[in-house]
Amino acid sequence: MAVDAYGDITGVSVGQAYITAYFDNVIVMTGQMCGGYSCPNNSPAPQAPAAVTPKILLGGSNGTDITGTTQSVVVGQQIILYGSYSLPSGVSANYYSWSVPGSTSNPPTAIGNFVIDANSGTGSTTSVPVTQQQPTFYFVAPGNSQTVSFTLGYGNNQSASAGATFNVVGPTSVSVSTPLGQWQINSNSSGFELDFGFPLPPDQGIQFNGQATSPSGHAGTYEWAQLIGSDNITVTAGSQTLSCTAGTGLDNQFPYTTGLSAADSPSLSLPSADSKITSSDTYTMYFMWRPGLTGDIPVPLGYVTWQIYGDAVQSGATWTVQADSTRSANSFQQSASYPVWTSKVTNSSPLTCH
Amino acid sequence: MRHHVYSVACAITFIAFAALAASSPKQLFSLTIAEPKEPLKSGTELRLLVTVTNTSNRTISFITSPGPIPEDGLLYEIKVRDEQGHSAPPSAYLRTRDTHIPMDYGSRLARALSPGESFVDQITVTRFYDLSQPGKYTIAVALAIPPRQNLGKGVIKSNSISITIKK
Repeated sequence: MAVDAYGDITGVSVGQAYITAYFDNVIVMTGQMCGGYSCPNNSPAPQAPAAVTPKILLGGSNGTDITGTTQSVVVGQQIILYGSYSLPSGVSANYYSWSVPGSTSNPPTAIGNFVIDANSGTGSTTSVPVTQQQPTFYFVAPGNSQTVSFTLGYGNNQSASAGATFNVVGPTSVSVSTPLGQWQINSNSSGFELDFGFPLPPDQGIQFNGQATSPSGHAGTYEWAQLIGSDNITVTAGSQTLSCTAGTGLDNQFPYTTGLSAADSPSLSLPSADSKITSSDTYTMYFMWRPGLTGDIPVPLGYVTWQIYGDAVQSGATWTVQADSTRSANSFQQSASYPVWTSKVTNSSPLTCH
Repeated sequence: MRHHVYSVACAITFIAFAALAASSPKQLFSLTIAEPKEPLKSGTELRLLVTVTNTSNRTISFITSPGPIPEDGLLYEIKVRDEQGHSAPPSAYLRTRDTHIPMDYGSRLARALSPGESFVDQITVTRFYDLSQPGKYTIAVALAIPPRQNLGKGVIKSNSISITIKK
């Protein structure tokens, strides 16, 4: 067998030969050899895979790149992140997805906002907007190494992610003690009232003596908010007894008061025409803190539930507190639970009776 | 000191009221009502802001309702006079309410004011007075001297303001 200079082979006897062919200028396109005359036209033109590397910006679209870094923040501080990215021409983003630690826990330790509407008398929290390119949210409980990640979905089911870590500080050594006062009958300019304590120290019905250590560099402000869980008043005149209520919800306004301590001395006027009045109420007082930064929100530190039952009887124009009157308070519970309400009770709004 | 709205019919006239206020000795605290900037439309709720300022040289604790600007109308004596000096009629709520049912209830706390400090209360006048009739009215309020602090007894009176109710 012979091979000439052109590659032609001539067999002259039975045997075997190794043939090596050399092809210059052969183009391989998407796995197909297209040497010779022409290659097929491809659309889109083949290209190398794109390198998509999203970034996390702190402060919005013009913010600081914090990708891969660790940031120190305080609870209640407004955090505005922005998922930044660059895609090759012709490739579009399909979705944004954020993972924020604590945003799905119960209660959540990261929230979208705490919204109070004084006009409608509502207060509620919102979730972290995890599908927006620029989410705004708040950590509401301290914690180290809280890693937030941003995932960009793009092109043909492709995705890329970036992460940033937050160390979240807040008040520590939080506690609330709740000394209780006594039921009493007091006079006022228009008659008598049944009081659980009296508002002036040291006779308050219940005191909330809060203690906490603010994080370094953030003294902040301590706030209180109280929810009325139930309110039932009975009014007896002769043989007729009416059941009344002031309703439930936020106790007057938010905040109830500010500072490390608070108190409550609920009062109920005693119409001279009545012979007996009882008042049964349950409350939850929330201890909160806000850092005092632009755009901040108050964050819950915990709560105290407490309950009272007062019973007053009139005899011979004299009102007396009955022995079955009670008062108690549960111990302070540290919690990230927010006070949430859909109605409010304003002092001395007309009672609803039946 | 709680609620005196219904006693306005037999109260002193507003002129005498203002004269008394003007001639009072050094007061423990002052009450200043902010005057509405615009006439009020008949049927609209009238809410006034009252600034309480400690003008004494000692701390005074005031009993208030919860909140940054408490709604504390029942703590005040409110006087509303029409152009003829007559007391404005009581509101429908006061006229029709069942006197067996307590009118005054709720959470209370003390707000301590150091000398020179102030806080603001809100009073919904139309809760106590019917101001549906167009015309000019004069309004003043008074607050009892807080109890249990050896401050004496009596009331402190505010300035008076005029409001116009239009149709």
